[in-house]
Parts: sequence; structure tokens; C-alpha cells
Amino acid sequence: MNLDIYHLFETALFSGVAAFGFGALFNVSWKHLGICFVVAGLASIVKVLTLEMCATLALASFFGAFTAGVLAAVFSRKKGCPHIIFSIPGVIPMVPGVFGFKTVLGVLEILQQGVEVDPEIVARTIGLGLNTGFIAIALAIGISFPSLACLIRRDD
Amino acid sequence: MSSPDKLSEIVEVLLDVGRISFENGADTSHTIQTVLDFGESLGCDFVCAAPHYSSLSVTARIGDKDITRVAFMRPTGVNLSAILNLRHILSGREGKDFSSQFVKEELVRIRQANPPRGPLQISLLLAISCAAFCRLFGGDLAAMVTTLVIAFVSVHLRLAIAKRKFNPYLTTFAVSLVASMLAGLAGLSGWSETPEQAIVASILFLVPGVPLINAIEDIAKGYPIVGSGRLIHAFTLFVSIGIGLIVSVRLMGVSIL
Repeated sequence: MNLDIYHLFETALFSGVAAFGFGALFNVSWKHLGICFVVAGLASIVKVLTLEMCATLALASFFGAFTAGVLAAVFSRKKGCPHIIFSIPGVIPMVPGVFGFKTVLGVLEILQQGVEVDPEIVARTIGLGLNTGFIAIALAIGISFPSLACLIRRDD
Repeated sequence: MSSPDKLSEIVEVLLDVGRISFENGADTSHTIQTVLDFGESLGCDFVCAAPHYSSLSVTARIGDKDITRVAFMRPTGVNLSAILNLRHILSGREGKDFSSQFVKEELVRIRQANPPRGPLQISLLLAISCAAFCRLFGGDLAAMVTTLVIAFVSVHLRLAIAKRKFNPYLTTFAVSLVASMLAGLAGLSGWSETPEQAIVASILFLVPGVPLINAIEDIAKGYPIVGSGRLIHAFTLFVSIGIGLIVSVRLMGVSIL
């Protein structure tokens, strides 16, 4: 495993900043935004480490989201908040947004070119679409895993 | 108050609890659990809540009387502080007269609460987020600054349009078009080595991340109808972003595929 510590730190920092901003959009209070930053930063570290171990992007996203879910469950117990206050902003940096709208661009390109379409565009669009779908599934299952494993109390 | 009137008021309160939770971005199982917790705390013997994406039905029973009510719902965006405040009503019930009237007053307070941040603050924080995304995609400093400025303007535009309650898909299309055109123009000036990253990152705040995650979560937890509704909503928003983006990249002559 060829690990670049600077890259890891940078990813964690910018993922935390991204989660902080989206938490602000979702009306998370100032005192809880710091926790969103930590959750997203640690989740992105796990994602990068899993990717470095040659996992697929979807599998790495699952482990990242699982980390976010576990941390959100721990902090929600401590602060007496619903876990989604921390888990939703925590996984936002991992949402496959770029894959999603690039898939739409690919589909529009295929529609425009019709039967003369370049097979490379078709293959790339299918790949992007599958990645979008699998990453979204991985994120949703990853953050709900702690509740399935009873880490979250019924009243959280 | 007679027993049917009391039960009727409790069901109205439970409907409002469910609507606040669902409309502000909670997933279906969280919404149902919140309604059940409130029902139990208000003294109901049995409560059943069934969200159907655009409507919510609640049945409550006390003794041998039961009432079912249905209310219309319209997701208004993600507001996690409203969901947190619902939890605070429940957790602070000890030592208080936890009546339906008390909960009703608290729900009015939640609905009328001012957001913790103004549009300028939200625009700035979200623009910083988009600049962070630009860096995560490998953008250089110039691309990050471009993203910061364009995202700030675009978020502000989106919030201004959202206030007028236009169609969300048309709003997303318009903001995607404006943001990617501005980023494309900045890219044409040649001051950044990575203009594509600036274009992509400038519209990331439009990505329907929460509906997408909630959709899969709902389907996985056994609520496929609500999940499908959310999935279609997320997909349509992606299409709106994509159309806005494709129009601008064609006009600018840049490629981001």
C-alpha cells in the first residue's frame, strides 16, 4: 500500500469543510457543525484507506459511510440528538454528484448522436451510471448499518 | 374536552409531527418512529403512521375509539434543526404537562423558528464547500477561487428564486445554466489550468444528495413506494442539472465528459 499522508490529510480537511458548509445549508446549529466536520473527515480517511487497498469505489464508499454512521451514532448518544444530524452532512462529500450529472450528460450525448454514437461514450456512460447507483446504495446501507446493528437507541 | 375531541386533537398533532419530520428531510422509518413516540407520550393505546411521499395518514386509538386522518405533504428542503427540535420536545417532556395543546404550541414554534443563518452566511459557507470539492477533484488554486466566487453568486441566486417558490426543477436548471456558464467564461480566460473542475464544483450544491440517500434507505428498510418517489425526484433534479450544464458547455465549447 503506497500511502501519501499529505493526500490523506488534505482529503480529510476538505471533506470536513464540505460537510461543514452543507451542514450550514441544512440548518445544523453551530455547536453541532464541528462534529459534522470530524465525522466527514474521519469517514473520508477510511474511504481513502480502503481505496488504497484496491477496493472498488462503491466498496470504499460503503466503509466510509459505515464509519460516518458509527460516529454519528456515538455522537448522537453523547449529545442527545437524532443521528441524522451528523450522518447526513457526514456522507455528503461522498455523494456521487459528479458521476450523476456526467451520466445525464452521456445519455444526452447518446440521444443526440443516435445510432452513429461512439461505443466509447456508451461504455463510459454505463460505467458512470452504474457507479452512481452502486455508490448511492453503498452510502445508504453504510449509514443505516449502525441502526440495523442496534447501535442507535430507539429514542435517538 | 370529550374523548373523541381529545383523540381528534391528538391525531392532528401527530399528523403535524409526521409532516414536519418528513418534509424537512428525515427518512421514512425515522418519521414513523417519531410519530409513534409522540403518540405513546400523548397516551395513545395504538398509533399507526403511513407516509406515501405526498401524503401522510395517521391512525390513533384510545380505549375503543380510533380516528384516521390524512394530510398532504410537500418536501420543502432539508432542515435538520426542525428534526432536532422535535426530538427536544420529546426528551424534555419529564416534569411538564405533556398535553396535545402543549405539543401543538411547540410545533408552531418549530414552524415559525428563524433559520440559524441568513442567506449571505449560507451562500458563503456553501461556496467554501464547493471550493473544497474543487480541490478534492484536483483543481488548482485559481479554479478554487473561481468556484468560490461563482458558487457564492449561484447559491444566492438559488435562495432568491426558492423564496418565490418556483418549480424546483426549473430553478435547478436555471441555476445550473448560470453557474456553469460563469465557470465556463472564467475557464476561457485561461487563468486556471483546471477549468473543468471549476465548472463541475460550481454546481455541486445543486446535487440532490439527501433525497438520493433517503430514497435508497427507504427502499432498503421496506418503504419502496416512498423510496421510488424520492428516487424519481432525485433523478429529475440530476436531469435538470445535466441539461443546464450541457447547454452551457455547448455554448462555451468546453468538454467535461
